[in-house]
Parts: sequence; structure tokens; C-alpha cells
Amino acid sequence: MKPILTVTGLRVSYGRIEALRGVDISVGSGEFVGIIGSNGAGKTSMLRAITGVVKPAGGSVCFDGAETTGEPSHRMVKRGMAMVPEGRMVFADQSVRDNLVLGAYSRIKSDPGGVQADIDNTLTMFPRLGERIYQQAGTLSGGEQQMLAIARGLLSRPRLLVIDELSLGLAPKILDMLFPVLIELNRKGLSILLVEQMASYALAVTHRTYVMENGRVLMEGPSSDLAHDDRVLDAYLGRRSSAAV
Amino acid sequence: MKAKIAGWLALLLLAVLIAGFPWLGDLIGERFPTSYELRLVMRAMIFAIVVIGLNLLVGLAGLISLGQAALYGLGAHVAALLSLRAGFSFAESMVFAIAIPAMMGAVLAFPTVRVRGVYLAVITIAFGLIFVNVLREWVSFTGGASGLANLPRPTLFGEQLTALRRTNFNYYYLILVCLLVAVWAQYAITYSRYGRAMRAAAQSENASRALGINVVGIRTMAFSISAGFAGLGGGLFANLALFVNYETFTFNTSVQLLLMVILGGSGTMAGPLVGTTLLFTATQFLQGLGTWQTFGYGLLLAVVLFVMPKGVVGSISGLLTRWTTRSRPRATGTWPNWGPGMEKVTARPDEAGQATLIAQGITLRFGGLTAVNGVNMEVRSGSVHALIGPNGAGKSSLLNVISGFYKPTEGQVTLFGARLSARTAPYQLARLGVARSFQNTELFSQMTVLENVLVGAHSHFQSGFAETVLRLPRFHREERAARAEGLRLLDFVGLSEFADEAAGNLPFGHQRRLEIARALALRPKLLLLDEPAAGLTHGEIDDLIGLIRGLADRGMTVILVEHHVDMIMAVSDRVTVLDYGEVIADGTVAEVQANPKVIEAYFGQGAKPGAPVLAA
Repeated sequence: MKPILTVTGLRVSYGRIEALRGVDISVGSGEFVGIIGSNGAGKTSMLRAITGVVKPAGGSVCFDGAETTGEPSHRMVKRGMAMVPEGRMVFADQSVRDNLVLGAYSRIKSDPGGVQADIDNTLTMFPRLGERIYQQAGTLSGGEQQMLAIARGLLSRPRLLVIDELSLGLAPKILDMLFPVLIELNRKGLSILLVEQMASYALAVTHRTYVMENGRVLMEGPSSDLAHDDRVLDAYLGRRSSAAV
Repeated sequence: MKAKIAGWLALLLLAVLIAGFPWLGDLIGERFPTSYELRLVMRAMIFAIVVIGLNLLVGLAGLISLGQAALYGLGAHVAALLSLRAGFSFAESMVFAIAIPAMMGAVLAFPTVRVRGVYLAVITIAFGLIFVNVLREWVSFTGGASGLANLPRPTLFGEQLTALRRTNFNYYYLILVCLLVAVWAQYAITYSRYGRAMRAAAQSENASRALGINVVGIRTMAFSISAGFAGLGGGLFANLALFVNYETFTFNTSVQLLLMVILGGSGTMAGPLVGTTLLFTATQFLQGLGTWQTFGYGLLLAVVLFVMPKGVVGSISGLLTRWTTRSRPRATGTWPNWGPGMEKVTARPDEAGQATLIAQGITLRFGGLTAVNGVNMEVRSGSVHALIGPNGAGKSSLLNVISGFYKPTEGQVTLFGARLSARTAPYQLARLGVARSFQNTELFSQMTVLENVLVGAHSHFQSGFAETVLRLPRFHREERAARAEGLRLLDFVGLSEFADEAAGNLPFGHQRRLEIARALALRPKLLLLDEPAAGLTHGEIDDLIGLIRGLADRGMTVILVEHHVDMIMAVSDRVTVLDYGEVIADGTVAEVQANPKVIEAYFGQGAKPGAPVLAA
């Protein structure tokens, strides 16, 4: 599989905190890759460095055959990478439709017809958004906001969708609705990189998973294998808790 | 610690330099400084006093005033009028020159109940404009454009106050002493619970209210102190110039004062001194440039602030911390860490089994939208009561009613056996013993981790404002105790290694833990947790379960809004399920779990505990 994203020796520091200490990961074209790990493992920092939100202190990021280390986010979006940020970050005081249009900011002038078609497309995917198309995004429920954040990401026609904490603050029923959509998108050829705190979900939907700890990659492998790995079971799937309960 | 000592040494050096300046002529054998230079230094010191006051308002309380010159002018006119028309002595008139602007400041703080940010700045501009207009037009009282002239020379203890060798430059030294007192007050307020509360209110108003801080009160205090300093400066100015009129106190002066704060570095200790010195000196030099004066002035400001965006002191100290501190790996400790020192926070043996909270027919409407509809709920003391339901079911709204942030449209909340009145503010509820965390975490992100917890202890302090500024023994005692308890709480949640880190730099999951520690600093009887497990890993959720259970077993009541099914099952004594704002089920974990309505509305298919969620 030809990789769409290759990250080598990536390092990130915030002032005196070193968040990422040399990380190698790759995402194959059409692959669904997960990243799990405890808080402070460096997952969000890595996504920020890949998507150009922070400048890495060292290492390299290669996206779609080009060296893109340190390129700012708006250029990464043009190259075909979209980010669904932690905590949704929808534009709360604008309508659902305007949020979607803003997702297509880089091509709305050159291709208004295509943008409209894409909006219709995402609304078929998330009918709930269609029902609320002129509602202010801030008044949506958490689950609907997450749908909007994904749809907005898709509007830039990405080849790689990067998602930070899909499950944050969402009811189980909503997650049962969102994950199949991601699986379907992936089946149609979209590469996805998913950072997820709820390891059980991540391992169930992705092809391959990286386990991060203390700013490094600890383990890597097919998700179905990791789901049965003793260390993963203990640390991230809460075998301890099932025993205790 | 080193930085603190260096700071005091720098201040001492500055004080010695200023104190020695009048006698410089003896050293170099010339007639220097003349009364002109002495006057310049005195005016700079007066400006610094006003700027220090403004720094407390802008840098700590985060409130921008563009009307500070009016308060400065008010002090000057009060001093001038009282000594000219009422024959008050210097000391008497100075008391009023401080007190009347301070009262005016409290009045000016009133708009902050409703407006903030740019809107507040506009209101302060309006105040400044009105003030100058009154001074100019009320000729019979203020003299209009010709102002109030021929003020009697100030005397203190029978001595004339002037800056002449004959009087040993006594007025010069009086101003210096006032400046040093202002620097001390700035230090003492900043590093106290009041300073912390001001910064907290600026960074997250909601969290401050939830921690028992009267936000309006603390802002009024900030405005009032800041205006008091402005008045002091004004009074000193009037007695130096022996002439006042409105031209000194226009909008331009307000802008200049604010620029001094920002140029020096707002919120820093040395910022006001550095900013005032730089801008005051620059103004004197630029006067030689004639027409180009304003241009040069603007260019200088733009360049300095572009290079040092946090002001001179702020930017330099930021760089210094960057260079001097080494990165070290930090680990979280095991949590919850029970053991000695936690009894103070948890012990509450007398109320077990009683109802902590009774909600009767709670309805909450926003316009046409009904968020909560006729909810009845009873929470027993020492129990863990979970509140679950789909996103948008009204759980957080109900939590906001219980913690006083929303007033219910209908219904009655009874807390700790007393009916809540509609007027009870969140900070009052917090002081009664209701603590909470927030769904999206509301930390004071620019304060350190320990300072965040200390804000939670704000309402336990007994020592008042005077004790704090004078640093009397009780202040030290309470501050030490609060720090010890704060560190113990950080240890409890395993964050003691992060105590001096800015809270905003913590990973999201650690921020959740910090919010819990901060809420516990209130020593609450009822703890409301809004999705505490969101963003935590399974291992961390297990620890959180231990923490919540442990608190409940020690007598604290916990209301928990959560989506992690495993966690709800493991920790709750009772569960209430909401859907579309109404209670659809209420009972033990097992009862709720088996309820078909709940399965339909909430759990969906795959969320049975332990089972993989989806077939891949």
C-alpha cells in the first residue's frame, strides 16, 4: 500500500514541556488507522504537528508524496488533509449551512456547483443536519455538532481525514451512528487517522492501531491483534475494571 | 525565589537612584538637577502611581479602562477645591482625594455587571468625556479653561512641602514614599487571594462563581483600588503644580496611561515602572522633533510592541523562564491518593442518609424551548446519583439549575434542608457547599495548577483586605495552610509534579483531574461532576471510579452526568434518566439498565458493558 502520510522522528515541545519525542507513523492510502494512549501521551500534539497547527521541533511529515513539515494548516487543507478537532469547534454563532460552506472555503469561488453537490451529499449522510440546516450551530446537541464537524471536514474534499477524539462527551447511541459513517467513508476510499480515548471503539473500527505513551509510539499492529494483546487489554480496555465490577 | 529577590534588589536600586538624584549636583559639582528636572522626576513618579493602579485593573482583573485620566483628574480637583475653597489641610484634602475617586471607581464598576471587554472600554471613555466636559463648562466651580490657580503650598507637620534644598526636597521624598507604598500594595494584592480572585474572574467568570467568588464584588474592588491610586496621583499632582484645569486629564492622558501599562507589560510587577519610565522619557526626547513628535511616538510604540508583544517586562521574563528552566519528564502520581490530610476535605459524618437535594417540578424554558420539564429528583446524602440521557436531554441544564447558574422557570429546589430562593447566586451556593466541574473544563488557563486550586479555597480565608495588604500574621498563617491543603489535593489527584505549570498546558485529561481537585478545595458537601470521564482512558476511568466512590463513602454527595456506561454502572447508587427534558426512568442501576424505554432512548444496541461496541 502506498502511504499517503509518513511521519518520521517527529518532535514537538511547548516551552519546557516536551510533548513528542521522536514518533514514526504512517497511514496507507485508503487505510483506517487509529491512535490510542493515555492522557499526555502526545496524541493531540502529533495531530497538531501533522496538520500544521504547531511547528514541529524536529522530524519530518510527508503528505501525498510531498515534504510538508511545518507547513501551515490552510496549505495542508489545500493539499487534501482535513482535521476534525477535539471538542468539535464548530462556529457556534453561524448556521449549519454556513459552517459547511466554510469547510469548502478554499474552493467555494472556483467551484460553487461542486460545493453545493458536496453539501447535499453530506446531508444525505447526516440527515439530522439537513433538518437543522439554518439553525445556529451552537444550539445543536453534542452529537449533532460532531456530525457537523465531520461534514465540515469533508467539504474540503480531503484524501486524509484526521479526527481528534470522536467520542468526547457523546452518548453511546450517537457513537453507534457515527462510527458506521466513518467505516463507510473509508470503504469509499477516504484515508482516516483517528485519535480516540475509548480504545474499544478505536480497535473495533480501524485496520491498524498505534499505541502511544510518553511522547513515543509504544506498540503498533493490526487492530484485531492489539485488541487481544494482554498489555493493551490491561492498560486501555479496562480488563482491570471488569474484574473489579 | 531567585527572581523574587532579584526583583526586590532592582527596586531597592531604583529607590536609591531616585533618592540620590536631588543631591547629584554635590557629586559632580554642577547646578544639576535644577527644579525643572526635579519636577520631571516627580511627575514621572506620580504617573507611575496612577499606572500601578491601572495595572491592577487591566493586568489582574482584565478590565480595560480608557477613562482613568478622569479619576486622576477627580483626585486632583478634589484636593485643589478642598484646600482652596474649604481650607482643608494637605493631609485632610489628600484623604478625600483618594476616597472620592475610589467611590467613583466603585460606581464605574457597576456596568461590569452587564458589559465587558470593548463595551466596558467604551463606557469608561464616555465617563472620561463627560468628566472633562463638566470641568470645562462648570466655570463657577472649576474655573473652566482658566482652571483653579494659586493653590496654597502644601504643609505637613508645620513644614512646607517643596522640592528645594532648603526643605531637603521633602515633597520629592513624600512622592517617592507614596510610590514605594503603591509598589508594595500592588505586590501584596497580586500575591494574595484577592489578586488570584481577580485573575480568576478575568479568565473564567463561570468557574469563579462556582468557586464562591463574588465576581461583581471582586471587580468593584479592583475598580475601586485602581481609582484610589489614580486619586492619590491626582492629589499629589495638584499640590505639586499648584494649578489644575481640565486639559491635563483628557482622553489623551487616559490613552497614555493605558499605553504605559501595556508597554511595560500588563499584569507584571515591574511593568508599570518600566512602562512609565520609557514612555515618559521618550515623550521628553521626542519633544525636540517638532512636527514629527506624534509620528515618532506612534512608531516607537508600534515597533516595541511588535518585538515584545507582552510588553517589555512580560516578554523579557517570558524569555528568561524559557532559557533557565530545563525540560524534565513529569509523571502523574497514582490517584486517588487517600490518606492523611484528606479528612478536612471529606469529613461530614452527621448527615448520612438525609436528602441533600430535593428537586420538585423543575421546569426550565429558554424562550419557546423547554430544556427541562417537570423534573422531580431526590438525592440522598453520601450517595452517588447519576444523571444520564442522550445528548441534548437537559442534563447539563438541570445541573446548572442545581448549582444556581440558571433560575428554574417553575419548581423548587431544596438543598441541605433549606429551600433555595430565586435570588441565591451561584457563589452563595458554592459557599453553602455546592462544588462543580464543567463539561468543557473551565480552568484558569494562565494561572498555575496550584493557583487554580487556591482559588477554590478563596472563601475559607478569614483575613480581610487590610490584613492581607499589611501582611499580618493571620494572612501568612492562612496562606500557608491553603497552600499545604492545595498541594495535598494535587497529590490526591496525582498532579503534584505539575503544581507550577500553567493549567492551560496540561493535557485534557489532566485538566479534568485538576477541575476535581479545585472543586474539592471548596470542601463541598455536594459535588456536581459534568462528564468527568470524557477524554479519560479506561485506566484513568477506573481511578476516577475509585475517587468518586471514596468521596461518597466518606459522606460526600455526588451528582454525576456521564456517558461512559461502564463507569455509571460501577459507581452509582441511583440513576435518573432524562430524555427531552423529562425523567423517563429513575431507580437503581439494575432497574434502569433493564428498562426498555432507557435502552431505546439511550443505550442503543452495542453498549453493554465490556462487549466490543461494533462488529468491525
